[in-house]
Amino acid sequence: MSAIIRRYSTVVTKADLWADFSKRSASLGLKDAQLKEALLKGVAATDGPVSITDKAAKMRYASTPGMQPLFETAHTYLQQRAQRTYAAIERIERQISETTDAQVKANLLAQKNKMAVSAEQHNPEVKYTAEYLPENLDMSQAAFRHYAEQKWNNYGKMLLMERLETMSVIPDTMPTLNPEVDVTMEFPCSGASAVVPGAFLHSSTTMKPPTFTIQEFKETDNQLYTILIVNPDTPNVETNGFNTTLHWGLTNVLVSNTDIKVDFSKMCDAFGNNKHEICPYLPPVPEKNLPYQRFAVWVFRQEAAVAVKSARLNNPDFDIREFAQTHGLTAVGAHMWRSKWDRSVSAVREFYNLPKGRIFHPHRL
Amino acid sequence: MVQPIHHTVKINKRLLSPNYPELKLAKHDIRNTAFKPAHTSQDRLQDHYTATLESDLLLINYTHNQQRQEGLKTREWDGSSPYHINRPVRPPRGRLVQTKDIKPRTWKNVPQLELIAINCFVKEAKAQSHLVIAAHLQLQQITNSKVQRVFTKSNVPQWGIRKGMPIGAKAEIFGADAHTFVTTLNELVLPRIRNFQGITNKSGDRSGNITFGLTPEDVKLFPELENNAEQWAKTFGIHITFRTTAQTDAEARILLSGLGFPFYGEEKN
Amino acid sequence: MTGVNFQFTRGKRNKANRTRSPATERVLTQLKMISQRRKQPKLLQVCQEDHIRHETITTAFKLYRQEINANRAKLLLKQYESIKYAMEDLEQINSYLFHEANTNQKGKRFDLEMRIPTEYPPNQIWLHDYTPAEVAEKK
Repeated sequence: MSAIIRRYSTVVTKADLWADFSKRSASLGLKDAQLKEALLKGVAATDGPVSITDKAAKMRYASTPGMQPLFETAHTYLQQRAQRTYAAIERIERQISETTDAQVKANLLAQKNKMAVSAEQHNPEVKYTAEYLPENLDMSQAAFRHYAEQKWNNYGKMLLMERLETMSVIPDTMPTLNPEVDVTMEFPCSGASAVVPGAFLHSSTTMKPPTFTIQEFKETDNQLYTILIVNPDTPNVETNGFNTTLHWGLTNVLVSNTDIKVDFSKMCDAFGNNKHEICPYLPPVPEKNLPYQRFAVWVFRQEAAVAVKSARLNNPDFDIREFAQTHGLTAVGAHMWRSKWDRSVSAVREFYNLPKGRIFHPHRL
Repeated sequence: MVQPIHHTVKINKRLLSPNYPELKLAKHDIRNTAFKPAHTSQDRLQDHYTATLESDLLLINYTHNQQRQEGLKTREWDGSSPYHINRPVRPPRGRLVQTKDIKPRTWKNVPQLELIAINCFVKEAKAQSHLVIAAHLQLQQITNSKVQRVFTKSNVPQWGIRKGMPIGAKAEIFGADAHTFVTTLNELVLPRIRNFQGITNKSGDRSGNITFGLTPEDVKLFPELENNAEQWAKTFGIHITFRTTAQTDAEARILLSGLGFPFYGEEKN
Repeated sequence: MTGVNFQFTRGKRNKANRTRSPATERVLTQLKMISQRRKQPKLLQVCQEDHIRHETITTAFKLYRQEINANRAKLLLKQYESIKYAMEDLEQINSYLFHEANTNQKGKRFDLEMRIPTEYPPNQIWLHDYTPAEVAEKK
């Protein structure tokens, strides 16, 4: 064991690797100088922690004594490890530039991404930003993506799948989903709060089309996405069953790690026409005495640019599985909400020049 | 018709609940109310094992070109008769229970002490059930860990027991707790037992686990009980079982001798 | 009703005038020691900076231990392979010695005197009149 300790003392102490931003992105450090000081040199006894804003609580706080020498040793040790990882990354980058085989290149890129994560994931500044300053997260950095993905795995992903499964969106629309992207949805003029999957939304909220954010955790490279909103609960009186209706479709939407918003500023041109729409937005207009209707938002990754023939969308029963297969789409994310009849539905129908809704009655056979 | 749902994502409902946000953090997170500090002091026994014993045990247990020795297994019916369907399996030839396979010894399976199981059966508790409390506390003091009560499982009028009577206490200790227990035994308790010869070489369950016992007088020598001896008028004897990752009893005894335990008597298997 | 302890008190029986036998007191003390009531340590209040500093220290220690263990495993592998190659050579060279080296080591014991090292030496540093157990038995 002593031999191993001796080895570290002969290595040049790279105690400033994470303070050097010449080769690394500046987003990996903390911008607030006071906060950085408190994190790396210790909470000042006179001022108190920077993170606590309340003055009384600031004064009351007592830091654990004796942390600083331990922290400095730990910090140096972690930077030494990161230094070795960066050297390995350089080697892999050289290999990537030399290879031509696409499969080998993909494997090397995956390895490089893993190393990029491990080189920065133990950086205290990165950890602080990931944990406590989510607004400063720069998703072009692998370490930040890693922490964001961890957080999503522990809550958002499970919540989404729970809702999709219990409300039978799977398998009533697509057969199943392996979620890879974090999809959030917001209806404008609704107080600007993200929709919880499966929530009941008022028809006045859903009158205007929503805006999405698609957070990709892998490194993106001009990836195009398709977004479809389908309603599998449109009643079909003739067959005494339900049809699936396509309420909105967007194709060839360009999303990257950092540019995650899918809203009108991105999609509409100078005249206000949405070039990505394959069919105009049809708002939820549930009919009276029906059970609630589910609205599933499916986010697909496209293999290439897609040109959709609007003729096939005129079918009253939209087959989403067939649509995905013909256009080479892979489902990577989803969302959902529910709607039921309320007193604003008729106003929404008038606004969109839709026919008057039917009133259903229970019919005993 | 019930549609199958393919659960591609394992859902942990506890993490989706809004209750107890501190308990949703990892167990080693200091903000968790269930946080337990680890590595608070040097583990002498672990250091001695990794520095000295491990490489010696690798050499001692090495056998050249060793093959996997199949243990005695239960025998399935071959299906030659239609009556074999759902028939219970036959016991192993010559034995009531199965025995484990003995795998070749490599650098990956050097015998280690896994855990120590301590059992305290209190016969007097049949008449005076409050003695179980004293036995429980005794084990707690010795082991520095959570102790479990032992209750009778069946009614046997000849022995004077009913089902569900508190009849003793047991504890399992792992890691640093187990190592300090071993060093306490070897340095403070066992050297002071009169006429202590060691652990018998006959002890063992054929699977690498060795047991020995201490009388109530021996247990008094534990420093935790000796410190306030006047409160411990009545102590209780214990059975100590060393569960090791050794594959045979002989290897387990070699390991325990390295940890400081003397052995006596004839060794058969 | 035999075998029941009656407390005769002046007025209603309550906490003030109750008497407990020493045996009961002993059992109650034992129960108090077993229960975890009011024995939980206080939750450490750490601010955000200190939490990340704590995480940095514990992560570094964890990775350090992992490295030590990985190096130890590598050394064990090296040792195993050197034993294997040595035995292969010995098998070719001298079959008698090979069989002696390959015998089962059942009954082998580490020396009792090879105690677990301590920071400070024992109270009796050197036993001048030492005789090993086997020699003492013969005598």
